[in-house]
Amino acid sequence: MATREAGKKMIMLKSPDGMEFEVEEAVAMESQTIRKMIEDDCADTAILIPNINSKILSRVIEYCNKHVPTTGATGAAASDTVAPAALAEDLKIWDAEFIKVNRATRFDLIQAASYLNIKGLLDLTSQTTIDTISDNSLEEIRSFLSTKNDYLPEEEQTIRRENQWAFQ
Amino acid sequence: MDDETTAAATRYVPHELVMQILHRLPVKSLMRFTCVCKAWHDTITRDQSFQRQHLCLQQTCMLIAPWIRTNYGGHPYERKLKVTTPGLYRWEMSQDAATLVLAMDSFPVVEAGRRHNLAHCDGLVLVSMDDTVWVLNPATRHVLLLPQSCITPRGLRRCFDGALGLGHDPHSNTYKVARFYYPSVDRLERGGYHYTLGMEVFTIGRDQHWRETAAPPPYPIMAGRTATFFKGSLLWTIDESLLLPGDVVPARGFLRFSLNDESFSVIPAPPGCPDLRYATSNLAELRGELCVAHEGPKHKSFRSACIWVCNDVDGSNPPQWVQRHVMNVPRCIHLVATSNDDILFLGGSYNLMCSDSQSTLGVRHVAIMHDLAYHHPNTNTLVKYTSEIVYDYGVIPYVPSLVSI
Repeated sequence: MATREAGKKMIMLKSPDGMEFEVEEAVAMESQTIRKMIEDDCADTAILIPNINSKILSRVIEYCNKHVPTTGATGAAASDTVAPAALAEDLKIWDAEFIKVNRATRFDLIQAASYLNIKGLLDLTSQTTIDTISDNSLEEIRSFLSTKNDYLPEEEQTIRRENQWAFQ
Repeated sequence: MDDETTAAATRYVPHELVMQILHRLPVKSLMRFTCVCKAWHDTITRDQSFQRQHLCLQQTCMLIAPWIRTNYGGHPYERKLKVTTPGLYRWEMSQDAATLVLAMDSFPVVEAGRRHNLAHCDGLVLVSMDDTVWVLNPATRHVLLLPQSCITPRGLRRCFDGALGLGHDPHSNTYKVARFYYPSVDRLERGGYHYTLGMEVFTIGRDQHWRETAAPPPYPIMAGRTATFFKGSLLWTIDESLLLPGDVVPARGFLRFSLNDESFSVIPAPPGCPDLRYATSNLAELRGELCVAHEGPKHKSFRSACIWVCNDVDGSNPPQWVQRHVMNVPRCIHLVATSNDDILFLGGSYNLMCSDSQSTLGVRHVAIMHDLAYHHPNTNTLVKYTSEIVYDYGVIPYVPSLVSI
């Protein structure tokens, strides 16, 4: 494609609260959903990203900027001299810092990653949540994921007895 | 949108988001979370599409069953050898210890003279000792004892032990166990045997008893070798040594049993190996491809092993076998799994080895099963199985799952 060879083709992303973000096509294409739109030629002017507010969208773009394969994209200058292993380690540290957000933001990020189909971000955000909750008590889980206990006390006891080993 | 409204909006957590998180949780956490609410209980224990998506996000590891000799003395190949197993251990290859996930004393298991290789499909494990067959889910700790079938003649040579298989039929979305056996075997006066062949099927969750297939299998298959499950079919190795004088095999190869229509066909062996020795070759499904490993020409003190691969055994066209690797190995190999770019195989009864796909780095040792520590979490003890007490090891790839039985 001529435009890609000539330089960086830019894409406009719009959040529903009216903010516009100009990003490189390669960065936007970290999202499989956007990639498909671009490949299907549905992305002439600007792409409206529904359900994702500007605050979350800017974080998502920040993530994609960091994770876009470094050939020819931003941050490429450094990568030529850095070994892949060191680069991966650097990304890991960056990810760990990136995900230090409150619960609400993390949930928004999971939903955004899921809608935009960005596997790396979805893995990162959900895994962080899983690490938080896999050892939690039932009450903590219910409050964390806003789920109501609709068991009668004796019903819960029965189910609990059936899976007693999982509580040990 | 400011922080406050964001917080207010997420007070309700959407169902899809909860599912995104639940899909990635380990089975043990999910079994605990069946107590959270009724909807979660039903999703985790009954929703097959949830279980399938959960399975896709789990990591493959190894499942090890040490087979312990319970009687000493005598040649190990003699029929009186009896073995038992303390249980199934889960092992991630990066670790020095395997962890007990299902102790066999949780259901009545006895020492056995005959046993079949383990088989795995979607987190379910097939174990068979003597005439007893179990399907286990080590992750949920569910155990299904299959009904007895009392049609196996006793006191026969080991080659008449029959064979089993476990697989998933995508059409009915069920798991099926198939059992190949000999309804009758008569020794002929002029030498050799006259026998009849049978195949029984048990559909998990549907059948109360084994069902006989409409047509019997056309050829005998190698005893004790559990079928390889590949794209809706079970594949066994034909036992050519048992073919009757009148038998005409259309092509040398493997017996395929379609789990959908429960019919038989023969999958021709790779064309490039007319002298394929079935006793030392084996089949495996690796990374979505069907592989057969067989002994190649010998070079000095090393043997070579050839691995052939094909993508599809369905349809009317013969499979397109491609020779993918040739590697020098110290002895016959048994394909186990793949890990990243490596092919894992057992050389002998307890050496796990690997070779990279390009076969440039040669064959490397991964682990000696005797040297692993075996961890029992309940008592927090480590057990070692020495070569004196272990006859061999069952080693299969395994993915923990919620699939119910």
